[in-house]
Amino acid sequence: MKLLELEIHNFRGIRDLTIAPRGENFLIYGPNGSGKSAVVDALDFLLTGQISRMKGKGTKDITLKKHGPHVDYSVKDAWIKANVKIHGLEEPVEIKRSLDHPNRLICENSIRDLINPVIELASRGQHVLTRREILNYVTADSGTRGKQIQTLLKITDVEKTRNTLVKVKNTLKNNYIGAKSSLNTISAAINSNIGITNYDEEKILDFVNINRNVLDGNPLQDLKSNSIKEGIEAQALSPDITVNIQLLKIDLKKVHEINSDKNKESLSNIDLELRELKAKISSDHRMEDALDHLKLTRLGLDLLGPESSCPLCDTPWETGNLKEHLKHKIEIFKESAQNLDRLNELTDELILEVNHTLASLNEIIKSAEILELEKNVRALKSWTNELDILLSVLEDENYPDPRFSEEMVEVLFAPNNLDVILDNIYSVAIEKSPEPSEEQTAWDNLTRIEENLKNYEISIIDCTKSFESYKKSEIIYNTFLESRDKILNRLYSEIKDRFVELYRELHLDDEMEFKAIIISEGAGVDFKVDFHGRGVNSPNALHSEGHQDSMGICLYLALAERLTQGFIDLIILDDVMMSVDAPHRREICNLLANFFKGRQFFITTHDQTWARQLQSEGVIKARNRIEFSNWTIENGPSVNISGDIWDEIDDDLERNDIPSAAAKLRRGSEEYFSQVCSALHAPVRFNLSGQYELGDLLSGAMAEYRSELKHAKEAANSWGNTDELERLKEIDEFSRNVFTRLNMERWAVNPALHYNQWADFTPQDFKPVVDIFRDLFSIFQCNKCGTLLHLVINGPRPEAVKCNCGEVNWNLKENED
Amino acid sequence: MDSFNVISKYNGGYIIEEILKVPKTVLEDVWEETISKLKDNPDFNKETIEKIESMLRDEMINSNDIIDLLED
Repeated sequence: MKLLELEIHNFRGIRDLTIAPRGENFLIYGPNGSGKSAVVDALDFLLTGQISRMKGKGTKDITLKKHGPHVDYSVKDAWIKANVKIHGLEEPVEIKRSLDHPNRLICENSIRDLINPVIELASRGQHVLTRREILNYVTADSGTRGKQIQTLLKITDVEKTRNTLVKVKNTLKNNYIGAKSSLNTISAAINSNIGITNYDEEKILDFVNINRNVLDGNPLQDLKSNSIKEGIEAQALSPDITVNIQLLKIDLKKVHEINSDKNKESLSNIDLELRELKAKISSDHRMEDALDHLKLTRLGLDLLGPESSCPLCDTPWETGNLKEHLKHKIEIFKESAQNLDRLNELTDELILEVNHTLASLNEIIKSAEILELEKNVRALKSWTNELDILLSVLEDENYPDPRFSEEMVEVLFAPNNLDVILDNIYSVAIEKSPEPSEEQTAWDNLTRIEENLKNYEISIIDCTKSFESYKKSEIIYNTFLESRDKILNRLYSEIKDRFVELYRELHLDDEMEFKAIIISEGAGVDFKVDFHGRGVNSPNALHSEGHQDSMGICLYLALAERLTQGFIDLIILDDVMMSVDAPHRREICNLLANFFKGRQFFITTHDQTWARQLQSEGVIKARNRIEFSNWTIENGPSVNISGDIWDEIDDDLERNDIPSAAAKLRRGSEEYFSQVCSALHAPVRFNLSGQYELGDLLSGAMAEYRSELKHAKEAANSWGNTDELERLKEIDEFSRNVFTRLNMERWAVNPALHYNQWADFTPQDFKPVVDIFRDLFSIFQCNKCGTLLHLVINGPRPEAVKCNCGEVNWNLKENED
Repeated sequence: MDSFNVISKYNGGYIIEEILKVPKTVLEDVWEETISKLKDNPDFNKETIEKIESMLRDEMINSNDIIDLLED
């Protein structure tokens, strides 16, 4: 798509503006605050229904409907209209968008299917590069550069999706940890009932069968919650029995032991070793990294199925090799593995102690509730809450926690008056409940086991399911990452060569051997560039800000070209030139003019030199440059459509306005010859203020031109190139003639000396002066591509005078044989 | 990049001979690659893959939807 004409009505700072780029490159030049970016916003809005500058960080209170229209008008009176040329369609089409319906593009229905892909592509925003983005890229530190480049490349959606998948993975991991924790607590309760340390089905079955035997039940072969009481009769409870004193006594004894010296010493030793080991690991970053690698490798080994590919990233492996590879990696982390295993052992020991305590504590609380000992219940429940917190900290591998002192941990947060509470519960229990029979205790034991087993079976299913879900989320996440790296690396590989080509073109004189590395790395991009063959580094390590700026532009151009090809030919460069120095700006002009044939650049700038260069280097035709100034709320910017200087002067002469014609000729000549002197490296009498008189510029330009033409003739002669010599002689003759005529008439444009005489001039008097300058201008530029002749310097001496298209190419190197 | 034919103008309207397709975004490319790999993974059945594909047809994926799907 190319832009032929754009009409803006009551939008942002613009009241009414019509511009006609005609599908060609277009330039808006003007100082900051003159309304240039409003035109870019208008284009942005027309194509996307949004204004990208009004979105994102720092734009919370800015809305399209409120701040999109001109401040004095409503959304109904604000619209943008354009004539555009679409690929495959012979006739231009009109598209329009109004701020009162930003999501509706108005166009002929018959072309909707054709314009929609263009609009959809535009919504990705890859055709607009703003100074803010370049600035972000340049000022990014190494840690955030990848992210900034992703922003520059407009692929942040990939990162957003990755973050979503991380969230999924973490949530499911937490669910799995929660399920595992519940399972541990329940198995601890069963173990506590039976008096074993680790869950053992055989021992539990023995315990069940012993109790069943007391109640004349047959022994069970399998341990299942629904058959625990199978074939035995329920015991008829005596109405005065409230709690089972026998079982309560066992639970109380276990909890009482927490305060025993032996128990304190054991817990203290575990806690101390755990704290020391954690401190040792935290103080050594390499150890921490090694542990992370080890955990990941072990997870990979756990997830390894029968298929011969990595369960984390799906990379294919030969059967068996991956297992060996992972085992070998684990072997490398031997020291870390010892530390990690010990850490896990100690944590598990502590978790086991907490779970055992909780199991007994919960049974005691049940009894205390039956006995209506509310105060004791509150105190014990408060303790269980603290134990739950400790448990979650241990299971999340966040131990030690500053909230938990060593003194608190050695008694597992037991309240100071624990013995008093427990003794009170027991004394009330024996007061209210007689000694239970052996059958009653057996029945109560089976009831406890039945209940806990039921929970255990449910928990096992939960745990398995949550592990499966977590495993799948890990696989999706890792597959997504691997796919991302593959796709991005392919994309980067495609644009890298173009990026290097463009950058070399910009820095022909100093970085002809420039190389770059652009590869996907983690969440970002590893972007490194060569520095004069001395190795690759981050862009900001050794390159100047100007070089980094031009890297940003080249990278963007290479990517925009790749992503929008065939749909949007329009590339918008909104005030992107900052620290690129003058010679390299000229090269950027050359790049835009010659490396992007068929593309339409829409450029805004506040930089006058850059604006001039874009014109003198043939990127922008005179008629496609407009100047904004004197912006007011009521009228927006004043627009000066530059047009062709000679047309404007002819208009002045027709109106008999000689002073205006002379002023334009002088101002235009000053601009033009400052560019000529720069392009030819012409010597101009130095002036500290940087303000040069036209006379100085003309003298310098003409002297350099004559000098290089002389060298070109000598070179042609030395090579025996008579045709070239003859051609150069003709050029020489023509230029001499123009220079002579100029010297005779040049006074006429000097206002300091002849201001008063203008009034006496007629158009007939002044026209010969104009004609001479017109001929003079033509000498310094190519009559085919319109670009200025420039000196090509490679080494100590100039080697040629050329234009951008190659039509002018004077060889300056003589035959030395 | 899809090619397209010249559109001819006829009786005041346009005859579109071939509907253009927008090139895929980087994210779409990444998901296409991801889904193709998941299809070969025995941990994912056809139904789960189809549900993920269906989610991707609407806007950006939502973490709660994916969690619900994987917990299902």
